[in-house]
Formats: sequence, structure tokens, C-alpha cells
Amino acid sequence: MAEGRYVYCIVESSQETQLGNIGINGIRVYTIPYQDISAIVHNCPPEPYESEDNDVVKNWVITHEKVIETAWERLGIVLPLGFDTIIRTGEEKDPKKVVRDWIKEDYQNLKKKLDRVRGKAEYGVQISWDTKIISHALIEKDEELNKLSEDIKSKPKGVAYMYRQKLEKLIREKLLREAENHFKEFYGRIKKCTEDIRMEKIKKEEEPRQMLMNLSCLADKNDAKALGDELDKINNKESIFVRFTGPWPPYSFV
Amino acid sequence: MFASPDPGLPTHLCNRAKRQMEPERDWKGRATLVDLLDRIFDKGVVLYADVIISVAGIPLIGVNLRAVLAGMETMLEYGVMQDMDVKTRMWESQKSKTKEVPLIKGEELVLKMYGSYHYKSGIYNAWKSGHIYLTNTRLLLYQKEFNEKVFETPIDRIKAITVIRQTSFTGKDKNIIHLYLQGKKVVRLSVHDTEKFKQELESSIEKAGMTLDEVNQYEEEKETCPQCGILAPVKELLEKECSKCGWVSITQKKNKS
Repeated sequence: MAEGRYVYCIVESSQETQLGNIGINGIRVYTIPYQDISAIVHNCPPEPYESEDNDVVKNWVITHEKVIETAWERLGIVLPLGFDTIIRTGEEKDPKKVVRDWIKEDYQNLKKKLDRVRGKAEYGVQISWDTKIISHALIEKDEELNKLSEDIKSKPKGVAYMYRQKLEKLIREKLLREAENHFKEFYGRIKKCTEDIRMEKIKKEEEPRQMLMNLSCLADKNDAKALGDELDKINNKESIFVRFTGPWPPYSFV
Repeated sequence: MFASPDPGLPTHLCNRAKRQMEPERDWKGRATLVDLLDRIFDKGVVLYADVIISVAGIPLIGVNLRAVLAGMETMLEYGVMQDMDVKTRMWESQKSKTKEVPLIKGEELVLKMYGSYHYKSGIYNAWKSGHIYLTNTRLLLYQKEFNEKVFETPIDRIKAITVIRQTSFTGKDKNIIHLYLQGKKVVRLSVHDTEKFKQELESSIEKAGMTLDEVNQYEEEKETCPQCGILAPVKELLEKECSKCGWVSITQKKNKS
């Protein structure tokens, strides 16, 4: 019969280790080593985990993360895998051998990646601003906008509408420019206190909040103080909000 | 702890926090769970080995869960709201079913069909869509949504019917029904099933004891009179004279002399 091995992560270890019944659905988790690299796995049928029930999936996902963290804590560096990565065996093959063969084949690559994230962790940085407040500030600060918005007050309804359209267009343009400037500035400042940065997709936020940048940063696992300090300064700017999450296993840098 | 401002607080209050910013991670809270999902479903070591179980369909559960957590906007984006949307539309169509066009006493509905009417008023012209009702006495187009009769005529005023094939703006060929009403007014309709509509309309007119005229007498080509500017049939202008101002074409003058 074909079998499956659900792979949580790769660690730097040559030991056969039991991590206990901490896996998805309370299943036993253990290592399959090849030389000095091990895969953290559990035994399962060769089918992906699927469920219509969001709470069930949520539990699986959190369990997946917790297993990786346990391994991270106990065995040092980890290369996390995504949810539901299952290695399947053929009819006759020993599942252990299939996993070993895979590590063997990818050995150099995995080694390189392990070195890269040694002692590091991933941190999420999301920076947003409040377009409403920024727009108001722009109108007050910018002479052209200020004059235009003053003019609107004295115009008849129809003309005022046209003026308002013009004003909004100008504000949009200036916001865009301002956003670009912020991006360049913040990116540069964050880069100085991180090892590496991945740019992630901007997420939609509730109006009038708007995300300026969404970054995954690679930095020291135990000391993110430099990054924290820098983000603090950014967060203290008027109408700029920083979300800082982590330390995550280095999902984005493997 | 988490130094990022609470979104509920006024900004001038939250930005004053002078604490050292520390990374936050607590997936009992909704926000960080989304961060985890972003990583766990899209990232991590990717295996390109043929021993890997095909992950077709896997991202779906991720998408679902992410959508639930991310709120309405994203839900719509991912199509999770479709069920709800279908329900809403069903409710709406149920509701509008009860809103039928009021019939006059003794009037019988012969045919109801989706269609549109070419509405023209001054420079404004457009196809107005709705349900076309054919009764034993009337033909009308009714827009339920606005409870409005866009067009209405007693069927005994319909003098001739013809179908013209025309290329619509979408590039598809479309059948346009021309109804010639008493007083030379032309009504243009487009219906879901042209053949059926035409048949039913013709038989209704027949049943009402009327006969339809041949179309050609209504289909005359028209031209403006060079003298008074009135729209008159080309034949009349060229072969006789303008019925309004008496203008005669040069050829006609020559013929006369």
C-alpha cells in the first residue's frame, strides 16, 4: 500500500528524535535524518488534508506552525514547509527511504538554505497611513490646494462641483507622490537593520486606511531591537501606523 | 508588547506611544492568524519532486479561511459571498414576480416576453428594456423595477409589422421589429424570441378583427424637401411635387414641359 509522510520542516540534525504527539489531529511527530539534515514528519495516508470546516482548517494550520516552532526551539534552525506538503511512497518503497532520497537529492540546496537562515527569523512589517488625515494635512500645507479649497466655498453649486473634482484629482496625485517618498524612505531605513527583505502584496484595509508597504524581513531571531527601534520612529510619525509581527520561522526566505 | 496603535483610537492619541516596538504574534487575535495564513499557504520550502502529493485544490481551503478572517471585501474578491449574492437575487426576483403589470378588467394576457423598446425623445435615444406584455387589446413594455410603462399601444392601432435584421453595437446580428402605427409612427422593438412574438401579435390583431397592411407602403424612403425642409417620401418628391410647399424637381419640370 502507498503511504504518505506529512513534512512540517527541515532541521539541522542527524538524530532520530521523537517530538511527541503534537502533530495534526494529535499524531506522533518524529525526524527522518539523512546525514546532518532531518525532515520533521508524521505518518499519514497519501492524501492531502482537506476540510470544509474552517475551524478544523484553522486548527490544522496553527498545529502546523506549532510543530515547526517546537522543532525550531529544540533543534535550532528550521526550513519551514507550506501546509499540506505530503511525500508519497510507491507501492513497494519504504517511506523512510523516499524521504531520505528526497533530502539526498536536494542536499546541497537545503544546506545552503539552512546556512542562510541560521540564527535568523522572519518579521512581518506592514506600514499604513490614514489618507483622510493626510489629505487634510496636504490641503493645509500646500498653497495650491489650499487656495483651491478656499475658492470652492465661494462658488455656486455647479462650479463648486467642478472645483471639487479638480481638487480631488490633485490630492490623489500628491498622495501618490507622498506615498512613493514614504516608501523609499521607510524601505531604506528598514533595510539598514535587516538581513534581507521580501516585498509582499499590499493588502486592502478599511477606508481611509491604506497600506503603503508589506514586507517580510529577515533579522536576528533573538534580537530585533534595531528593527523595533526604527519602526518605533516610523510609527511615531503623524498618521503612520506600523504593524510588527514575528518572530516567524523564515517562510519567506527558503 | 504590541505598540502599534489600536485602530479604534483617534490617531493623535495612538501615535504618542513611546514604547519600544516589539514584534507581536498571538494568533488568538484575528490579525496575526491572517499573517500566519499568508505564510503557511504561499511560502515555505517548495519541493519539486514527483513524490509530492499533488496539491490541487489545497489552496482553496486556505483561500476560504483567509477570506473568512479578512472580512467582507476580501470575501467578495474570492467569491465567498456568491452564495449570499444568489440568495439576495432570488429574493429580489421573487419579490418582483409579485409586481405584475395591472391588467384592465376583461383583458387577457397573451404573451409576456423580455424585450426592449427604442426610446427616442429629442437628442436622447436608447433601448429601454423590460417585459413586453401582449394582451388581447394592448401591447406594452413594462419596467417592474421602476413600475413604469415605457411604451403602450392598443393593438388595433398597429397597421403593419416587419422584421429588420440589423447589426447591433455588440457586433451580433439582431432582429428588430418595426411596428407601423396609425399616424405613421414607427415603433422599434427587440424581443427575446422574434418569431414567436410576431406570430402571437399577428394572431391577436387578427382576433381583434383587424387586418394588417402590407409593409412596403410604410417603408418608403424619405428625404427632406430642398425647399421647405419637410420629410417626405422620395417618390413623391421626385415624381410629383412636395405636398407641403409644392416644390418640383428639375427632372419633373422638364418632363412637364
